[in-house]
Amino acid sequence: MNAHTPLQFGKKIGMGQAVTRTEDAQFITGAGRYTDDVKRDNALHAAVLRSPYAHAKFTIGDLDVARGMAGVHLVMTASDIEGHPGITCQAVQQQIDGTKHPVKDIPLLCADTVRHVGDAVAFVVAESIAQAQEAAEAIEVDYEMLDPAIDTEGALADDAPPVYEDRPNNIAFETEHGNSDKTAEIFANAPKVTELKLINNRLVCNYMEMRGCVAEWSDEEDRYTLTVGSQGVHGMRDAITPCLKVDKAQLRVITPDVGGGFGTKVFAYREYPLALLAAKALGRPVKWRCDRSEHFVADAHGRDNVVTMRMAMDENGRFLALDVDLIAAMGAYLHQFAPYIPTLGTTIATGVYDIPACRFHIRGVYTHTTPTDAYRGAGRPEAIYALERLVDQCARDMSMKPDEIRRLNAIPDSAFPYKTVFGRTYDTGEVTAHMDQCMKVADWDGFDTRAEESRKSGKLRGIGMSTYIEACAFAGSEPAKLELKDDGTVQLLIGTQSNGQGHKTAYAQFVAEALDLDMGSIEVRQGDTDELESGGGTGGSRSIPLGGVSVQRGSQALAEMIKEAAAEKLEASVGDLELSEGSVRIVGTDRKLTFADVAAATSETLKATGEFKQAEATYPNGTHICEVEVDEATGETQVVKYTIVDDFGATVNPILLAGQVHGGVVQSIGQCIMEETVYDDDGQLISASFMDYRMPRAEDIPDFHFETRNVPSTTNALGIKGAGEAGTIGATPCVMNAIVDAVYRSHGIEHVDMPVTPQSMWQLMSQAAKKAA
Amino acid sequence: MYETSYHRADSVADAASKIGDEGKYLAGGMTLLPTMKQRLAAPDTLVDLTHIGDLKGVSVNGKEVRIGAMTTHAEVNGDAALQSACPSLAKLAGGIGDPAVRHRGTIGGSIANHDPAADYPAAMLALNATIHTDSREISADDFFSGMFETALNEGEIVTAISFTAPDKGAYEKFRNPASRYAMAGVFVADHGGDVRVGVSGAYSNGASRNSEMETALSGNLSADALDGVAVDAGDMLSDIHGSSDYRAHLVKVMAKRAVAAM
Ligand SMILES: Cc1cc2nc3c(=O)[nH]c(=O)nc-3n(C[C@H](O)[C@H](O)[C@H](O)COP(=O)(O)OP(=O)(O)OC[C@H]3O[C@@H](n4cnc5c(N)ncnc54)[C@H](O)[C@@H]3O)c2cc1C
Repeated sequence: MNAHTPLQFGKKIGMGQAVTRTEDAQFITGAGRYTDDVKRDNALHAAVLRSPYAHAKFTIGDLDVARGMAGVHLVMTASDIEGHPGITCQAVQQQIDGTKHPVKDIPLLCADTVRHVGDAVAFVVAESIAQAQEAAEAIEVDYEMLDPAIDTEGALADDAPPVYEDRPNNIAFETEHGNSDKTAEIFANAPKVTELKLINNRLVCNYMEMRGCVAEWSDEEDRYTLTVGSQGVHGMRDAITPCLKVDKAQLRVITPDVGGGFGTKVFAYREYPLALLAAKALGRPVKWRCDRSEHFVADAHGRDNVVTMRMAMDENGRFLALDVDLIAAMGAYLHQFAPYIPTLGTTIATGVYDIPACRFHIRGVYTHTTPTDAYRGAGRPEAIYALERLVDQCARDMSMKPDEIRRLNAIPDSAFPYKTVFGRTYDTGEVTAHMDQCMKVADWDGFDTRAEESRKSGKLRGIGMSTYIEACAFAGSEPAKLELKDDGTVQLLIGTQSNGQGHKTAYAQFVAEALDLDMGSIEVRQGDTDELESGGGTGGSRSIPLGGVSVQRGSQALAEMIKEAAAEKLEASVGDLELSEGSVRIVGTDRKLTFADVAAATSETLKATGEFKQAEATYPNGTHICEVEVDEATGETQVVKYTIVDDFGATVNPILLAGQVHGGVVQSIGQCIMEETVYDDDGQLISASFMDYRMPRAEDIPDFHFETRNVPSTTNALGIKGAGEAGTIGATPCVMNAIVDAVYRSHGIEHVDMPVTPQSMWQLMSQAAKKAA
Repeated sequence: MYETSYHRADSVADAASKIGDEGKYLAGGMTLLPTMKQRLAAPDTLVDLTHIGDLKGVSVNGKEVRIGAMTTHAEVNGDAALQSACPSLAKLAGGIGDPAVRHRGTIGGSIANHDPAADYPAAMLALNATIHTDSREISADDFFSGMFETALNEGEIVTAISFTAPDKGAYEKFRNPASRYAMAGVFVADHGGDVRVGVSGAYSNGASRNSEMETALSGNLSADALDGVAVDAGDMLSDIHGSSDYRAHLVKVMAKRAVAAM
């Protein structure tokens, strides 16, 4: 919507309508205001001295040179901030033996040991960034290099270098979920067992907007203010205040526009408390900005699992039990939610299938690498990737078609609500129906003709599917506060945080519909702990399922209040009033008050709160089908056709929805055939810039066919299931199943790991050809 | 970035007089500026060549082509006379980087830098081009002396390149998956039955000719003529994107595709 778009009211822009994003004009024309756009006249600039080694003991020598350099105000090392706790893990798990595992926090600055390339050694503040960098380089650090543990599986070996002396075999934690005994019993007698071992490759988040912060201290207010890109100011505040040793009232957190978060911007990072401590010590604002090279080593990475799965089946391919053994790399410390991530996978480990028994065994392992944490989907993409690859392998082993084995094992429509072995209750779903629909629109049956066409130009074509389910909008709520302003506009305050998803548009739709107001008269505000006392932030696809319903309820409550206030003034009964295009009117007359009139007529500002509490998660599900072409001569893989039929329960805005799904699928295509995080044996990150880390670009992505086949959720008041992560969850197995299909047909290759780079595919095909010869 | 001083040169002579011992010429800046921002280069002076009119533009006279050093990739790509005299080179320029890079980056900067993965050097070799500097002329064969190394002396300025357009030419590249520079870029040019093959991205000593391919193709300009040619992986670069074996394989695939496209 822009200045030329006519005003639209109420139902025309309400739930389900394809309203264009109100944010876009601003973002596209460079008028967005991100953290780095926040300037303070007298700000100082910070730089972090980072470890060049993966594992080393160190001592810091002379600091006087750095401290004496031009423009330098502060050189901070661990000894200067003794007593300030590091950033602590908030997701401690209960282990198999009933104990809670110990936690290795992220120190604000390392004292004597560095544990990954990029670990922080010193924090330098100067008049300019260049001066801070120069001073950081002038600090003498004497490193004594130690052997590192880098490989995720290898770190478990008895002779692997320990990341922590008190964690044998580098095991951070070990948990088990599901029904182990029953699973073991079924496997002991199973007629058929299919096994598959896969790597889920480590990813670097690479949002467009790098992290950064502006840290301030006020003597008058006796508190700190932090301006920072986040996924929720309240969670950010609560994670940082312990490091500062202050209570919550002494830290205000503000988040302006955010250019991508994908889970990774939920977290507090050490630079934020360091900048705050420096700002207080120096009495001037301190600004820190992460550059792209720093991002590669300093921001939490995603994924990095090694998973071994077994499926027990009867003679007909009916699934009897599933066994999953997951090794999840934690990196050098336990990041804020890290142990929770693989655990989240268990919420949907059996997918859309009726599997009566499952054991899910998890070992979190420390390595001398950048810590991992939530990345779009957080544990659920990993779980569904593993399962859907295994299901295709089962089909090959049983000489069944991919859809046939899925049809046989899918939870029947009649079995919903369906309780899984992990105790989750899927409320609604029609699994084979979206699969049928997707196969139809993808022209699954016409594949052979297309494969022949591809063959003519030297391309091996494959087709693959995934039928996924995921859990999101976990139990909880997100209250919405609405207020009628004097000028007749409405302000919404809510504790989620848009990172580019389009919250302002989606929330305003609910308000517009309930109040019959135009979008331009609705202001959506997020991102300031002073404006709102609490908030759950954005993550786990929760903002619209939870926040959206709250906004609708709050808007409806405000509508009633407006009518009541107007009734008095118009000397009419509330029942005779209706809201229409920003006014309250006596039905069938032209007697009305504008919202501004109503605001003027009330002695107290009209304020309403809506809160929807959800007791269970919601379960979006769907089918993805894609086709790939592998260039037989070069090994290059391209995704050439992509079809999605999703069940999101209910659609709030089809444009925003398609955007979420497209983006998620693109991230998965990136993971499948491009994004490769490569550490060498010394723990150096080889793929540490865009020169070596391949990001997906528009030319790599096919057109998408996306449609919904919604079955409303009964858990959510508006039937919404959530859609922020589903694209990523459905797509990775779909793309990989298509790639395996292509090379299984041509070369009999069954084992393919992500990412399928041109070189790795060429090697696979060459080896297979050699074997065949 | 480290501190540096900036000088806008108004002539080649002015530029040469300002460069000093620790200065660098600034052309499109597409390579030099990122290196400086990462603090990997620290010239004390930047001498900007952008405003020297003599260094810009494409001139085509029959089969004789001359391209000023400061001509951008986009200008080379869009030049109508070049498109008819030597379409393969115009097309190559249109495949470098992205639009922003093509509108800043220059042919002089590209060859002076001699990134082993850059596209132009393969073309210069296959086209038997002459590199003109402020003091001499150097044949392409002598110019590219090693990875990131050229025959240029300290402070010497590339002013133009020139060549006689071949009867036919084609360039095919397999792009590095991440950087999208050439991982194997092969330029094949037919000069009246005498075929020259220039290769970028693959050889560890930078852009190189492949004489076995040239011999096989001279007199038999067909993709099949390359079947019997073995590309030696021993001379090839190796990194996470492509082992030397893979690069050797790709050089042959790209050479065949180039010949097929001629
Ligand atoms: C994102 C990106 C993608 C790219 N992709 C490709 C690609 O696919 N293929 C490809 O070939 N290249 C690619 N490049 C490189 C691009 O073509 C550069 O423009 C080129 O390599 C350097 O040209 P420049 O004019 O920018 O030179 P500068 O960066 O200004 O200079 C490079 C070096 O050459 C020296 N120099 C410049 N001009 C002269 C001169 N006339 N005489 C003597 N010395 C001189 C400079 O002092 C400096 O050392 C890419 C670059 C970027 C940023």
